[in-house]
Amino acid sequence: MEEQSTLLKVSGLKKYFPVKGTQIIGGKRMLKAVDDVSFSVEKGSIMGVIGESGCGKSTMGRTILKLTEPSGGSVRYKDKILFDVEGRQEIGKKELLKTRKEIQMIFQDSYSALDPRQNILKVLSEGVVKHKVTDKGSVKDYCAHILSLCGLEESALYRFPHEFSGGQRQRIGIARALAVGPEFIVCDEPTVALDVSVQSQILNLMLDLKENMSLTYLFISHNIGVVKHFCDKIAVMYLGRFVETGNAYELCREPLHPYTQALLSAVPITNPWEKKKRIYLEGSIPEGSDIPKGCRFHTRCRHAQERCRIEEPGLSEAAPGRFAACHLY
Amino acid sequence: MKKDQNKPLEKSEHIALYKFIHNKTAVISAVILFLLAAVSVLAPVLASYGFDTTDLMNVRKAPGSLHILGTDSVGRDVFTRILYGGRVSILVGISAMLIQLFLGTLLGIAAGYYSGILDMIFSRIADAIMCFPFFVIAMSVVAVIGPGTFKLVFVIGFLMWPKLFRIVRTEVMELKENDYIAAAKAMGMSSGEIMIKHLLPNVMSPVLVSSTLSVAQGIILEASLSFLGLGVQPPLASWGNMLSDAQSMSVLANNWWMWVPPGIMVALTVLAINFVGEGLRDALDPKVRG
Repeated sequence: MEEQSTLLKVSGLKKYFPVKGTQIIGGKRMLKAVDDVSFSVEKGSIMGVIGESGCGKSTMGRTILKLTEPSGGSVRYKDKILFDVEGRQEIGKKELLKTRKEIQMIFQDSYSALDPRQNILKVLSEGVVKHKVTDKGSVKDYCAHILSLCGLEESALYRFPHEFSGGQRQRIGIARALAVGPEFIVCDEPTVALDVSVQSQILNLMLDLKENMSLTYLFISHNIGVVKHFCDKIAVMYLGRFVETGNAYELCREPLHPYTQALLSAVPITNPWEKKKRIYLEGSIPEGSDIPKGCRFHTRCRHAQERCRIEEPGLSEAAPGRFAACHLY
Repeated sequence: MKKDQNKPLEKSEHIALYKFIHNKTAVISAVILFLLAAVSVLAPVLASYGFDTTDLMNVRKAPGSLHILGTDSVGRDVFTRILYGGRVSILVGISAMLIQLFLGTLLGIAAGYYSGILDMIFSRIADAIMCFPFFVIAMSVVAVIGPGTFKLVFVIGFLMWPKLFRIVRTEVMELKENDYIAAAKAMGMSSGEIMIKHLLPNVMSPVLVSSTLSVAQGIILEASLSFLGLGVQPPLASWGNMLSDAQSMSVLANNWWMWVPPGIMVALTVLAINFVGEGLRDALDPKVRG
């Protein structure tokens, strides 16, 4: 029963980039953008991934979609194996094309996500025509319908990306993803470039669409405030690895990992009488090419002990349904 | 308002047209080019002589009522040869440009998009061609395959494509980092579709400008090679081989009408094309205000 509702299963996903100008002795140095990440997403749920800039969230999203070549691990979507580097398995071209229709992506920068030379009809119809979502005569009407679902008028079809505001462009990006009728959407910080009022519009739109079209989201963000209300499950990422996963509400109420605690303490609170103790993290995130030995967070951790410098903790169940990669638990 | 909805308008293109029209030098140059092209095309109608008709009674005649621009060393009408020479020069310039356009864009997009080994191979070939002085290779090649108009076109085309190739390659390397390329991939578009539908339209404006300028360059190279006797062969007329008459000191000193007109035509055409090219560049560059 449990297994059937799992839509996406990622295990041991790795993405390393070779670092240019490597030293002669010791071979190529690798920047470990995503380093052994495993999780699964249940159908109809929203899984959130948070972490600071450069921790590998976006790379993870892109690797799952096979937009960049994975360095290790496997991804299974429904009963299809998209890739399994260790098992040397890869999805066939035809099958991949079919899966492309079912998995879509919404991008962070709505400006670079739309081809400046294509009008909106072309942007939307590209996938529709490719996957033969509707018959040729009704492509235009279909695109107009999708646009209206995303809160844009039909007249937008003949306009060009630069004629729209950031929020409108993001709606177009969502419309493009929806147009092929996907079941699973990877959202790569879709609200990061928008101001707060537009952010909430876009989030509400995404929630509505999820309900109406029974979608599943993988929501990548660095805004805990957003993720907390939006997601069912949250994973906290640090230096290419998950340090804590769990139910969104519980994780935010009582964070276990020192990193999550620090992140949550940085969320501004609107109630001026409520006092919160801010945990300041010292230093900045280490380079992905130079990951500290032992626990990768020990260089900035308040609770760091001798053991943390030597031994790397794995994700272990700290409380029912809650996992943390920390020696404290 | 209603009209706007039904008619697809590409606004950026309209702005570009507006900017171009308001660039006086470019517009005047475009008109001159148009006239030159028209006159060359209509050469058989406008000229009263054949381009190879010799009049041995009137050799090296100064301009007069019979021959508007005089005659050359074998009594051919210079004005007629200017008109026919324009055909050849423009044809050579444009054909050589088309070869460069084809090779430069195709290889440039492929190299920029795939990078890696393919990029290395194409780039090294381009470097190898570019690191030799043009005339050294051109003359060696012509020495082997022999002179001729079509051979000239191929020599210019094959030796000049690396310039366009480099422009396209760098442009594509930058463009492919855009999320719309990732989006197209996620949509299931093949590499070919991405290159044709997304990359090609986006590199078009620098390519257009560079191609215009390469027509001018082609005309100059044709003239230079023909001047040296390696290009268009007489009796066929080209501005370059007309100029080669000026290799003789006595012609240079006494018969100005034999070399000044073709010289002016080359200079005028090349200048006009360059002005149009610059006008296009300014018009297509959103950073330059019209």
